[in-house]
Amino acid sequence: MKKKKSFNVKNLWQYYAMLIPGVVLTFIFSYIPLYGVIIAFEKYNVGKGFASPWVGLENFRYLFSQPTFTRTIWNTLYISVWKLALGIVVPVTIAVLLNEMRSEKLKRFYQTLIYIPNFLSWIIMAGVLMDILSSTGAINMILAKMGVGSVDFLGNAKVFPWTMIVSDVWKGFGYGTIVYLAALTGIDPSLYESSMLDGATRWQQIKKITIPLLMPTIILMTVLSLGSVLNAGFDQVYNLYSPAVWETGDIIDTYVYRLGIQQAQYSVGAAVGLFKSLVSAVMVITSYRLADKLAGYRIL
Amino acid sequence: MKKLSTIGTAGIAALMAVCTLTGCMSKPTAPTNNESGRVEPPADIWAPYDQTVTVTTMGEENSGTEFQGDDDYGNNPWYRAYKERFNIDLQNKWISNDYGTKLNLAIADKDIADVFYVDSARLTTLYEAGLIMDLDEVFDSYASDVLKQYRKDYADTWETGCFDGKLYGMPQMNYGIIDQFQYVWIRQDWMKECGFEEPKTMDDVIKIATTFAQKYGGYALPECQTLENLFRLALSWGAHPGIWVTKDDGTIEYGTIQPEMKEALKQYTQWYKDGIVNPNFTTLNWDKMMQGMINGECGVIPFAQWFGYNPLPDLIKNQGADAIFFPYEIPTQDGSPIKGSVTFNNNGYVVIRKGCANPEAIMKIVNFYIYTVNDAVGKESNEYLSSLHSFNYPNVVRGTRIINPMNDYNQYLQVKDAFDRWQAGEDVDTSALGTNVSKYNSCVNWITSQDPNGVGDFLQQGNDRSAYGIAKKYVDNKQYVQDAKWGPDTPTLQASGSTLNDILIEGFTKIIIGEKDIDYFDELVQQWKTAGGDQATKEINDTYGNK
Amino acid sequence: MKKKISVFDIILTIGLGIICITCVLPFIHLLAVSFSGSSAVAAGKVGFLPVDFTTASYEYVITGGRFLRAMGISIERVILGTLLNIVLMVLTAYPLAKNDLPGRGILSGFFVLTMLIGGGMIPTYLLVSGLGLKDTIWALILPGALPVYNMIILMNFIRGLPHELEEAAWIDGASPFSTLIHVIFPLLGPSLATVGLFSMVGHWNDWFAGMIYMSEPLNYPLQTYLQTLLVDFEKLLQSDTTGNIQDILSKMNARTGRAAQLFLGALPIMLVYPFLQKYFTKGLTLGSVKG
Repeated sequence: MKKKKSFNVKNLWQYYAMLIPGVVLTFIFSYIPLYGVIIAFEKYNVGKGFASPWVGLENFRYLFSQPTFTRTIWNTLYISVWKLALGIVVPVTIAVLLNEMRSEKLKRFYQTLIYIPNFLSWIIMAGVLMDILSSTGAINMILAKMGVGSVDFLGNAKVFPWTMIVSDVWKGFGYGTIVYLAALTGIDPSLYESSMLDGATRWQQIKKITIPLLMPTIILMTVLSLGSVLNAGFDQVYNLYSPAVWETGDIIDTYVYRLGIQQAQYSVGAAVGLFKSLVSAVMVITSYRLADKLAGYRIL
Repeated sequence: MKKLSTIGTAGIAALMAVCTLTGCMSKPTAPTNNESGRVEPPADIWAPYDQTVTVTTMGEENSGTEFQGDDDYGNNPWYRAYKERFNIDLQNKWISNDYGTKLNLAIADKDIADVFYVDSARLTTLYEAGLIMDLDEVFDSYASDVLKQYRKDYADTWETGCFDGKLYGMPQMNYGIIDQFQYVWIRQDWMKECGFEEPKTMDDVIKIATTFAQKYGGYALPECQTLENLFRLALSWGAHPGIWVTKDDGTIEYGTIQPEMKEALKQYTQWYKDGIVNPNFTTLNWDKMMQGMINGECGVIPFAQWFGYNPLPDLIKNQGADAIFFPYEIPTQDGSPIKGSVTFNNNGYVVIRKGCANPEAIMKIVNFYIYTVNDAVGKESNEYLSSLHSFNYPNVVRGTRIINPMNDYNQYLQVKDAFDRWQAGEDVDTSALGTNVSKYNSCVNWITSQDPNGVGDFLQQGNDRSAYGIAKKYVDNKQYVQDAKWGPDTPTLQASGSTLNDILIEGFTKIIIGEKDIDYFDELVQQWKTAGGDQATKEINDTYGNK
Repeated sequence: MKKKISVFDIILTIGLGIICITCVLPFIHLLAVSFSGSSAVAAGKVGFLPVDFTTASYEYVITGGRFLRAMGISIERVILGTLLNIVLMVLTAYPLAKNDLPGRGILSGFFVLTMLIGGGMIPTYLLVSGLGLKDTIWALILPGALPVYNMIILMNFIRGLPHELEEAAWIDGASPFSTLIHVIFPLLGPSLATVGLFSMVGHWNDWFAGMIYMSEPLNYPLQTYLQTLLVDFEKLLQSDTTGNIQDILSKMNARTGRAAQLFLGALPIMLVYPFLQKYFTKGLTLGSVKG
């Protein structure tokens, strides 16, 4: 017996016709620029264009001999790993606590509040942070009232990475919270009821029922976020950093931008970009493989 | 389906409304360069063209210019002058608030204007890409005599705009080395009360400073996290921190790591121990240090020539006009004449696009700016000149202006001369002062009404006791050490940014506060070398050595 | 099942309440600053209520004109960009949702690959410039005309739709195009709302494309304009001499002016958000439809 097709066999061409605009635009704007990666292997000269002298891996060798580059890798990993870790711990905690709340109305109101910062641009957030974190800003005023000396959140290289980590978690934890809450609503309430009969306290319920049932979602979210471990947040860092904190705050993306566009070192900038892109691609593929294996999650 | 078409119609209607609102952001009519559109120039370099010549430029949005009336970047006194005098229509390809980025993109795109300014790194990029013109021919034929004289007088600076001996970028230079010297500034009312004379030795300076601290409270010497006052006073020991010095054997080394600096640091550490240097300096940034000065916590400070502009006006508003500070020479350890440090200082390079049809039109524009600052006084009305030079209008032509490195020196001579005559009760013809009249007026205002806004000009150039008055002697007698790095940074220096200096500043601070002893200096030098200092030294010697 | 309200519940409600409030307090503070007098702000007296109430900062925004112009450009971009995104996403997702369509593997790979590698900023810039798009609204819209990730979300949603409706349409002689328009499209409602909203927010929030592709600051969209304010609004204020602005400037300063503009920049999203929250939330779970 012939298997039924999911498409209209008679007018097959129309399906391909539908794809034309998408394919054409994607080809133009995503594939044509790919030829630009060869800049990374050349000593790019604007006048000669892509026919510039070929230098092989020289740009990469130069890069890895630069302490300013190797430190950006370390900074990127430091900032993004902490963001990932706290970006799981905080939303899970809040979601579990929200789940314990009795009033559904209040719970929904709380959800609404924590989800707001997530949709504002980093430009707006940077403006807000610059205002409240300045030496005369609200936070330092509060610290002064508590008798603590003023903290240079954006200008002190020791503090800066944590300013980035905490503000990012603050901006984004609403998103994670809602994902985990959605997973929690799927839990069968009878599980809680029967454990109540066994005399379990609420803390025991959380430990024995809620967390284990959340685990698959936690693992899935963790694995998926691994793919973006080299993205420490360009929009955020670029709009908040300054030369004073480059030592600890300069990340790969800001480095590429400074090198490639602000300093016109086109070849070296392209080399960093290519390096990052390759490592990221491997990370993304690995993380999706893992997600498929561990949680049965497939995107395609 | 009906709902859908309603949404669609609404969407399109909204879109049209927005389009009308913003004029659909019509692409600004970018002036195109007509390659074949060469207009024959007149023989006289100051004469106008018969036909209008269009020249394009790209520039930086600067926030200092106070545009008057309907003026803007494309229509202002300078652009109008070009049109009226030479029949040149200067058009802006774009004006950006992020010039460096936009310029790099334009270069990558090979979409550049006829004339603009660049830094030395970009000059090299453009030269290697073959996008800019060899200027020798047009310079020889159309540069004014004054401009040609600049090239002769500052040959070493003009050299940095050349490749293979050919001129590709005209250096925009700076206002002069007279601005670069350091002084000890001392508070006058206290000095008189205590009966002190001008200090002849560093001990005198310390005596004055400590006496002030005992008598009026506070501390003897201010300082902040960047140790900038240490670096100024180090000149007394013959150290030249921050610049590259040529040793006796002809090699070049970094000034901050020389033995003289160690000597200065040793004494400074002792002063800190004795409570002479502000004990809290590690917690102070520049602004906070100056806040202390404004509050009258200290009466002696090593500083540059512009102390009178910032923070002195605030200090005077706070402490009264008698609290004025005067600059004094920094005394040397052995009593020899002090030598300041002079660095290479160039604002950028004017370049012309290869293929520009009328490069001589650009030379006319460049000549005109120089004319207005040097020899227009008397030939043009004061009103005309100040219409060009007031409200920070010169910033608008940042891309095409070349500054006279004798600008501030000559200005000092003029202003001081007029001011001396005024003080002697003579009539002063201010029309001869041209654009310098505002400096003169400030000096007069300070004396007549003690206007704090005039004290800066007064102390910079009002008399022999002014900062320029002292510095004139240094310039005339060549009493300074010139940075051996007479040109742009080498790649390692560019890449390491401030990190190399930060190693030294952090280490020096540890020595001063007693966390490490003075021999830690040698360890620091090693750290500095391994962190890239050796590489930088090698590059500097390769690039600038044995000239 | 009855539970008593315990001390734990009270602590929980208050504790979570405090955490949730921290998400909006900064914006309330910003609002208070924007309506306060400059000297009160400089003295650090402003908390969550305006001190020396004045609307000078907002008058400045309206008189200055640049903010409104930038906002107009952003609105234009959001409308044009979102419409284009939706059209392209639907057109691409529908055929790709057919698992057995010949060549589907290669075609979806073609799109997915673009999520993994890119040519970098400079080549993209040269391309956009070479196409003559620089300084036009299209430079902000065309390069991201097909958001691949959102397209995949939509594709997964289409796959989950019942197949019978389509087959019935074919029997009536409908072509794939008319099936898409008449059968599938009306069913896409909620998921289209979600990805459409993501597009809108993305277009509204983007500042980088504006900075790169617009050579004139006058053509900046709102977020790019706001970005320049973060850097040098102080200087911008000093040089502003339009009309009777000096009068307004005496009652405000860079901090209040910046606060006003940042608040206005955030306002559209804050206004729209509560009404569309359910779609945003839905989008989070949509992405994890299994293939």
